[in-house]
Amino acid sequence: MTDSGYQHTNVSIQTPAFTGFIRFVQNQCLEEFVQNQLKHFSEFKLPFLQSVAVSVEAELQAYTKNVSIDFLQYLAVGDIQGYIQKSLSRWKRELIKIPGIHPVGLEDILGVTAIRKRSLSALLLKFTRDIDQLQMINEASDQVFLTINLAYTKAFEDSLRNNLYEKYLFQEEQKLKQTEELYKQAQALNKLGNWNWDIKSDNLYWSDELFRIYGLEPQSEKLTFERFVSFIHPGDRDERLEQLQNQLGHPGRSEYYFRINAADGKQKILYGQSEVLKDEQGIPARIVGTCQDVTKQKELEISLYQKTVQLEKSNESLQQFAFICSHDLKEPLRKISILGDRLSILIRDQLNEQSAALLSKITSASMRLHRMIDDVLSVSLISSDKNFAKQGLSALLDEVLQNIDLEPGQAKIEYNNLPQLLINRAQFKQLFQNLITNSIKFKKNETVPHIFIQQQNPTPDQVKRVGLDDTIKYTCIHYRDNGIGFESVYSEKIFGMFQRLHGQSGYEGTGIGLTICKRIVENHHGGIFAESEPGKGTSFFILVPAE
Amino acid sequence: MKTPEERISPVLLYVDDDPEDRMLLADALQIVDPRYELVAVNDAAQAFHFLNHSRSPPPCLIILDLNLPGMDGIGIISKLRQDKISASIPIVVFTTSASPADQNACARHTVDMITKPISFSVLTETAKKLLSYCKES
Repeated sequence: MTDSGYQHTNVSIQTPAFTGFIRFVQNQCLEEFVQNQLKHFSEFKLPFLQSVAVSVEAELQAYTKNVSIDFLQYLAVGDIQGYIQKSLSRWKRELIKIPGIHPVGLEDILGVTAIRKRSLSALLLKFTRDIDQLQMINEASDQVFLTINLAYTKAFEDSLRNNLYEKYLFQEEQKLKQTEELYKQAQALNKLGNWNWDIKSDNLYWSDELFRIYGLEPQSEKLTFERFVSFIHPGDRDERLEQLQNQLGHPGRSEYYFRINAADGKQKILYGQSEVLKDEQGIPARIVGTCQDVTKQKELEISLYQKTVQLEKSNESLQQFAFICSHDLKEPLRKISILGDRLSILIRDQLNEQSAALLSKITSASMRLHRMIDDVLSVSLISSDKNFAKQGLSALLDEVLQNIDLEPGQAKIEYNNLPQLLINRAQFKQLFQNLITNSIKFKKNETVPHIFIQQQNPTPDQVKRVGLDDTIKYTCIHYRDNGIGFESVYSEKIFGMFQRLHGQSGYEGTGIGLTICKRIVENHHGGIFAESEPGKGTSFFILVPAE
Repeated sequence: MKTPEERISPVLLYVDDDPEDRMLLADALQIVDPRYELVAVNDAAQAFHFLNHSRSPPPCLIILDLNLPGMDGIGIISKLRQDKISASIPIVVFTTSASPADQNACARHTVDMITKPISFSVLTETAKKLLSYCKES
């Protein structure tokens, strides 16, 4: 708090008349002065006096008397400033420090001063009735109380301002602390530290987290460039130093990976970014940078790479296995069937009915096995064919129908306005051929198979149902027939390899057709699912990425 | 089966290292048309030995398996096509393979490819088809 603001009011009020009057009050009317004040206090009901200072009347009386004695004492010697200082320190001690009381405080201070002035003036006629003297005393009194009020107001304002400023500082400090705390947490979470190297003074600053990355207690030592270099893995040291050297020659941001041997004995992989800052002369002065512990990420990357290699190897051996199936396994099997067949012809006349039936079972079983091996082979080869081209589905279906070579009236197949898609022609032909032959095979008795194929926009649920990435736009080909259908519980099972819902006797086939369909759609990064009810036909929904 | 020296009827040359296949095709041919004779050999060396040392007219058809010990079927085709005498003899590939690579190789040499069947009744049909390739001399 400064008192420069009211220095100019420190005019002389040492008029003999005023001093005489004060002395008169001091000596002869002290009690009356106190009583006057108390009377006014109760009239005005000043908040502070009422609520805080004194609740018992006797105490207020004693308090008022003490203050009045003081007041008169200072005025008698003309030391207004002395009084102001003393009263301010008392107010401050008793009032201003109470948080939230400031508005009350100012009202109180000014109110009390006014009351004091009135109580004093009321005694004036007892001292003199001389007009000139009265006027002089009044003028001096006005000046004294004006000075006091100005000083009080100024002091109060200063205190208020200081208080607010302190509050502001405190809040800012809190904010800063919070920000710092968040920053530290963020660094710790990301295992990310920052650093700042002053080249000339070799002053190296590391954030707390960077110390931790290097296996040290935060800010536990004063760092130098040499100390930093000592942590770098010997295999990466020369390269990292060379990078730094280059960076000084070609300022700008640089990125790099390097290994360290941390103080806690762990080897870590760090990812850094840094930038050279120049001084006014354009000479590199500092390098600032961030550094992240990416050991975990790198390890994951490596293990992911190894897994991918393993997967590729296992895919390769799967293909080899399929190839072996196709040749080496099929060859002896072919011999069993063809030689069995030959045998049955050669000894046809010598066989009785039972042995002929047994022999026929052997050859038909081996032939079925033959077809299954072929099927496994064709399924396994689907995913290796990535030959895609833009193709209109309507034209493709025209070709499929030609291949199937339907007899007139054997089936009714409707489609139009089908889209163009990026597909493998041969595979999509097979897809529709399998679906159509299925529909014809599983037709209802006494009905003509009726097939509708149309394009739809897939619903989000449909995309989800086949487990596709919902950020990609798909188109849906809806294929439905009026066949025998199936129980909805089998809607997954029908796509399984060699799964047959109907006994071997009723319908031909190994049960691979829909497996092939599913693999084909999956090879196109799409999905297929079926909905059906017994006797109500079957719907297939084929979702493939739209163009 | 007769030895090359004894034959008198039209001859088909069949190169296959599989003895059962050799036997089966001979049987099937015998059933389809006994006038024809199948000279069945194990590999390329035996095939060329027969072609170069036979004193009788060349075969009316050469049937080749693709996977053979030593020179493979495609190798035999190339060599036959370079030879003046044998260049005009029809060739059919008779194999278990259905691989696109083998199909392409046969197409390049304009040679038909027939897959070995898994039943004897189909094999007799195949024998009939093979005879239809025979060069009428």
